[in-house]
Amino acid sequence: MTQVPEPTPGLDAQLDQLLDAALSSQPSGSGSLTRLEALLAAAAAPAAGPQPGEEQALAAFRELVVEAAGTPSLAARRRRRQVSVAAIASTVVLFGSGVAAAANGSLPRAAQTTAKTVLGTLGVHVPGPNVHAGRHPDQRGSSGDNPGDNGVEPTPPSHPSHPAMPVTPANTGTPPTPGNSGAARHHGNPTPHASGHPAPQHGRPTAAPTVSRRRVPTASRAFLNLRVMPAARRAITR
Amino acid sequence: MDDFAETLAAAQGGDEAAFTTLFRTLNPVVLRYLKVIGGRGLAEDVAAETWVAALRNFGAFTGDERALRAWLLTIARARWVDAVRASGRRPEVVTDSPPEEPSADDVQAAVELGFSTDWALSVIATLPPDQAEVVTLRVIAQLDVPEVADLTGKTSNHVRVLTHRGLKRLAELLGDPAAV
Repeated sequence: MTQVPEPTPGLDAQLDQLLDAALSSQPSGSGSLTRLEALLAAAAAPAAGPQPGEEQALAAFRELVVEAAGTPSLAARRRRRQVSVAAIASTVVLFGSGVAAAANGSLPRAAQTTAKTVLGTLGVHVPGPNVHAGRHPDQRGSSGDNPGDNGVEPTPPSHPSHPAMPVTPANTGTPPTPGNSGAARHHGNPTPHASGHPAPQHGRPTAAPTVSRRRVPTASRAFLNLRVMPAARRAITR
Repeated sequence: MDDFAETLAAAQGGDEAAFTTLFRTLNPVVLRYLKVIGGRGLAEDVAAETWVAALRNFGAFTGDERALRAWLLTIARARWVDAVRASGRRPEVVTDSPPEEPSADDVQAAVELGFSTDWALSVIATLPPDQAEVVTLRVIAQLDVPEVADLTGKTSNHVRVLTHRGLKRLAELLGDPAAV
């Protein structure tokens, strides 16, 4: 390692003073280092006017900064793309669920009529308003009457008073967009879960339906046999 | 520079006039530094490369004028090292023959005429490379000891010692009474 000798006092103090003055662009007031002070001032003198290489620097500035300032950053473009994809997906899901509801005839009368008209122009056949459809949401028609012929699976009737069973896009075969649970909101229904429709639990056998039946005790059965059989025998042999 | 923050923001937003102001203020520092450490032949080319490299990340820069100066000089130093290595030479050896120290007559003439910037730089360039670089960064670029230490990869104490040695040597060359 190179030996670094201690600075010489006296002269070094003057040099420090001179350096401080040079850094603050002020005269040091030192009478013994005037030439050094002048040299340093000349070396650091500000320049005026155009500089060598200025045109090339401006050209680079136009290419690298001016154009970049006009275009969004990569992160901004990525965010914009994500928002666009989400918006398109939301629109597709909304449209799909709306078509599904229209196909089932489960929309209110006015909405069903409009859907029939609009979708008809797109070549999609949906039934007209159900005869039982009323103006009140509680009087919506039954979806089982008009299954629709566009291959869409009928969805269970959704009822505002039963928020546990709302219409969901999952029932129409369209996969829900992750994080976009608001897409399947219909007619004031709360935002459904991704699969708001109860589904069987795979791997577990479903419980057998229970039938209410009075069981006859074994002893009574035996008694009946004793009582019934002789009577039946008598009837047969008569 | 007055209103440096405004000028910088405008330049980062694409204002050519603001960039020109910055360039005319800072390019002399970069150029003089490169002339001292690399000689006149390399200085302008490396300075141009420095600005192109700086402009690639210009929008992301944050800081005051001093920080911008230090940033540019860091890039300039790296570009100079690359240029010297590309030419097959060691960065520590700037020229095959070091510039000649001014004679007493040269000094006298300069004193009478007044020191020009170019002559002052040529005298500083006669110092040993480490001393020349440190003196240039301290005096011309006006960076403080820690900034110079960061830029050159030296310790602060070493920077102080090199500065003193360099200034002392310059004072002797110039015939200042305190140094003689």
